[in-house]
Amino acid sequence: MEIKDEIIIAKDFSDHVGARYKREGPFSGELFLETILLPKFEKAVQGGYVLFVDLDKGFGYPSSFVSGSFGKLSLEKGADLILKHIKLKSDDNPLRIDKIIDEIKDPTGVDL
Amino acid sequence: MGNGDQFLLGVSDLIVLVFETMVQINRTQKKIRRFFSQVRYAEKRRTLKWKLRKKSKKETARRVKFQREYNAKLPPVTLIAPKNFSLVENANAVLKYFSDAEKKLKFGQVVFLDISKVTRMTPDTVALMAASINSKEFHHASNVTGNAPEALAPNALFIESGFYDHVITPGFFTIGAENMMHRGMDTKVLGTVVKKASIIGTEHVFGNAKPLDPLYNTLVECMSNTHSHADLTGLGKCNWWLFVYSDPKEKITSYTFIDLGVGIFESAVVKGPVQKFMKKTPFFDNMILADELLAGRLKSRSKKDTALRGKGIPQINEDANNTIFRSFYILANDVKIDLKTKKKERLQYPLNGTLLHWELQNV
Repeated sequence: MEIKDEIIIAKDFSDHVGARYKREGPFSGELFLETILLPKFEKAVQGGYVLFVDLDKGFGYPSSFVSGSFGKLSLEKGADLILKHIKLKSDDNPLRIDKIIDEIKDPTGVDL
Repeated sequence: MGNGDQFLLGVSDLIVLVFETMVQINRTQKKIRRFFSQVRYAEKRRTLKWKLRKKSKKETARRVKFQREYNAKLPPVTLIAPKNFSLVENANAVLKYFSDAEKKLKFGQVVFLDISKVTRMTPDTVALMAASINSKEFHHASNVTGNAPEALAPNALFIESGFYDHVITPGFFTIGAENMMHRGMDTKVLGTVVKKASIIGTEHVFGNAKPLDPLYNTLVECMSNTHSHADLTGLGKCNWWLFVYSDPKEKITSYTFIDLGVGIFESAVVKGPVQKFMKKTPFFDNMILADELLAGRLKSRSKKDTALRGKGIPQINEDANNTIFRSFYILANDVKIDLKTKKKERLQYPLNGTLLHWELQNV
């Protein structure tokens, strides 16, 4: 599948993301999911293309943020569909990709 | 309109009428219940037992107020701090010191915290001191005064820490350029503060402002835990403090995150009826919960997204193994955990809250 859309988290959302819920503070995983990730992901599924997610330039991706965005999306849509339509990139720290993929594959697990 | 329609209209009217009657009956029942409850309460207030208890409570409150006012006029009680005034190195002595001060303050006595003879002091203690002095659970609206260490190294740490920005002082002290003491008054997870704190550390230790995931993630999880678990009465009710201190002699930056909430172990929800019962008794051992906590097996109090949650502390535990951290401690309630060695220690004097302290190094 072709890449037709992208999210550069540091530019489109924030380079200093927060925790899980909106009530916990700014730039939460919940806010990211609702305003950026979910709408773009749904368009990618409908359009049959891949959404490119760039994780570089961010200061970090805490577990609660990842779980509140990618984990929640995985619970709602299923891991296979997400992995089919999302491609992750992180030249700064490739471990970020592993972390998010692990979260998508097993959103309820805590093994790190 | 045919007969059938009239019949249907009649049935729907009847349903509405029955519904309205039921609502009316319900309201009347409530009014009757309220009336009888008021009557019972009025009767109770007329009993001798009630009057005596009220009088006794009033008398106790008056006596306590008088005692506090009397104590407040007495000369300050001087409490001499232990020479090794380091919470992570000398936890029991330091916690005893703060516990003794709190007991005096509770009875309205003015306390003078004499730390002049301290020869060893670490940033975690400065953070604890700032957080405590600004906590009403510690000062109980009584006055706390104090001095600074005389010895050179602890004096520099104390003066440059930013401690004086959070207390009333006649002097003028400037926070060191590579230090930061932040009080999270709004109790939220603040990415801007985390970013600034991360940059202070990476610039001092590594000489650049590059992102450092374990550091950034740990700080966010600390704030998130405080927001969600530090106060059992609701979310986001507990203040947190973050103290970042860059050692001028070494390429080490230490981070101390503290909230004086209920503490991780007090807020933990245990599994199984026996443990739940035991937790309410004084015989319950928080040391048992330490491993459960680190493994993410403790349940969250929140009913929302329970399946997804519980990853913050396991992430901190995992990141603590990273060589960029020279040391990593969690102190909460009566437990101290060295996350580097996984060694747990029972504290004789509890910390009413949660403190995380770690040192960033370049290896």
